[in-house]
Amino acid sequence: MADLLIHNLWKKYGKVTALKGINLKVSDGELVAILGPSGAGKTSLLQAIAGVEKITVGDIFIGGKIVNELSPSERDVAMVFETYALYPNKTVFENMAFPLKSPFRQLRKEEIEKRVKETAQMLQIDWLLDRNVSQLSGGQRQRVALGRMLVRNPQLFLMDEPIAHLDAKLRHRLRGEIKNIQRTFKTTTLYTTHDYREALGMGDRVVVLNEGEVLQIGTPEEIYNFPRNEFVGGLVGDPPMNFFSGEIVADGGQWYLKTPIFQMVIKQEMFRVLEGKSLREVRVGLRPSDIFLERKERDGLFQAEIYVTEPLGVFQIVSLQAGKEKFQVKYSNTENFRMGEKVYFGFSPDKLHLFDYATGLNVKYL
Amino acid sequence: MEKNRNRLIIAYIIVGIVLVINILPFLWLVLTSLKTRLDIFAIPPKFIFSPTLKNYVSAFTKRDFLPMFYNSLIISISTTLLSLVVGTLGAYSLARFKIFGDKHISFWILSTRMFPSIVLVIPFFIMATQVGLHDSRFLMVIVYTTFNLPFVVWIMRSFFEDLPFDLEKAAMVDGYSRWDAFWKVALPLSAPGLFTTAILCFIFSWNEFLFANVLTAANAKTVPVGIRGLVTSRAIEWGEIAAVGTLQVIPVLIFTFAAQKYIIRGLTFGAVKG
Repeated sequence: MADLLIHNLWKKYGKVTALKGINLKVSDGELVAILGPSGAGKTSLLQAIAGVEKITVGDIFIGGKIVNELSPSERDVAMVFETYALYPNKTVFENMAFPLKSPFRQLRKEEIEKRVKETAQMLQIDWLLDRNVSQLSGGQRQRVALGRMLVRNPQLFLMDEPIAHLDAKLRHRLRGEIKNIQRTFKTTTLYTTHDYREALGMGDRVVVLNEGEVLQIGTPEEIYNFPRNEFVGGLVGDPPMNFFSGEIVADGGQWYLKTPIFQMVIKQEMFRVLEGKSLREVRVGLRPSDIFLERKERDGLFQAEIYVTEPLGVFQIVSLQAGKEKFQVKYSNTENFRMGEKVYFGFSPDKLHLFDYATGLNVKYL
Repeated sequence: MEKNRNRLIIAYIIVGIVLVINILPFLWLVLTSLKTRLDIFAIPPKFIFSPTLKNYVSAFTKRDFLPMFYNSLIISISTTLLSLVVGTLGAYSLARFKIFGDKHISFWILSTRMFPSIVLVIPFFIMATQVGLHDSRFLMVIVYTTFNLPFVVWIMRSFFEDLPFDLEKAAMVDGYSRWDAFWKVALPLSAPGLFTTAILCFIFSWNEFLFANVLTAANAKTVPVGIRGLVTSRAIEWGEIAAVGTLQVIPVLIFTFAAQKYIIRGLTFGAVKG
């Protein structure tokens, strides 16, 4: 077990720059989820840490020791690949025993057998040990890949979208299992995913990565409640955050926030945040779950029309139309709305996320 | 149903014709090898006759075919092994490592097969005599290897390119060196490709005539050259030609049948990507 420190890491493939100056510190025993869309550089980052891809610039420290020049075997990390990368000509047992048979470890035969069996039992794949990996289902393969990582006691676990290719039900179950395993082993772990649920649900901290750059590092709560920029706000949440273009205007000694669907007075606290930043144009973000609906008009509510509703059990996704803008609301399934019905929506002003129009940065971080 | 049956019948007829075209010469060869001189020239051709092994016996007693078979075998096996070792390593490097101009290198390797081999015979002959390698098995192995290498490199390269790199990366993370990742993971998985190329290399060297004819005289003479020697100004020994020809085909047949499963997989596997 060890901590991990990444300092100004760059990775270029020819003309393509995959990682642009990554800085990251992961404490001993922590599970850090790396969240980003495909092509963000997640795999490049993990493979650079594992040492299977050479880095262009930067330093990587594992357990306080610089590992830039060390071979993957010397770094003593274990990795689950997105493709699982199981050896197709070997049985489950041979796959899991392979790391233990390496010249770096050279364990006795009985010891190897004992460790593989114990790990297989924990993952409930001990009945598959003699099977060839080509005979296994996706979920079983995934467990074997996990098993191959867990038979060792490495410095780091690196998991590259380990459950992305499984069906939704299985994915949910394995999410819990992997988190539980990590808590049991207390091994420092990096876990990449493009699914914000996985990232927020599993990570002690979440790193949001896009186009090779770290956009935000924070606890799941921070990422959800205080997205550092428009991209992070849009990435986290389902249905995604609604965005409107907004304008800040002064009128008769009052400051207003004007958007195509509502107009409101900017309160004292928020004005203090905006003050002195000479912002005129902003992007306004509002989560579907932060909007409430009412049938009767009252002060502070804004009018909209029901465009369509999607009942999803306990709640429903209500799409609203106001003027030309469409936006979504996540609302309890107790009310039945008709298409075209006039409703009134509102929200608490502190749920508004304001982003600078030019840079996309959250005004709170400006 | 009726339509399907008709199609099936047509398919069988076509397969039948192809088989007759392919197998008849072999049958002719084997039958001729077992005939006396008189039976060989009988018109109409005899399919029922009393077989004799006279031609086989005389090929090894009157003529000197035993050392020629020995030469052919040594040269073909050595060539196959050498081409596979050098070619596979080259192919792996081209498939896995970013080298400046690797596409050009690959094309250049292939281009060595583009001009007619007869162009090379005379230079090879002159060089061989000057370094004193003329009529040696060593020379033949070198010459055949130069011809097999492009072929091995191209087939094996596309094999390695089709293998997911993640497997080797996983091996390295699992505590193995770069070489072990190749030796213990990539190579066993490309066994079908190795078998296919091995057989094709062997067949090429085993059957090659032009270079052997010019570059060997007595010591390193191979079977195809020997067969040519049966056509003399006085007579053409059809019986012995057929007998040696039959023996010449057998090792290739055994080889191919033994590895049939791999060849089919190998040819389709490698053929997908160019």
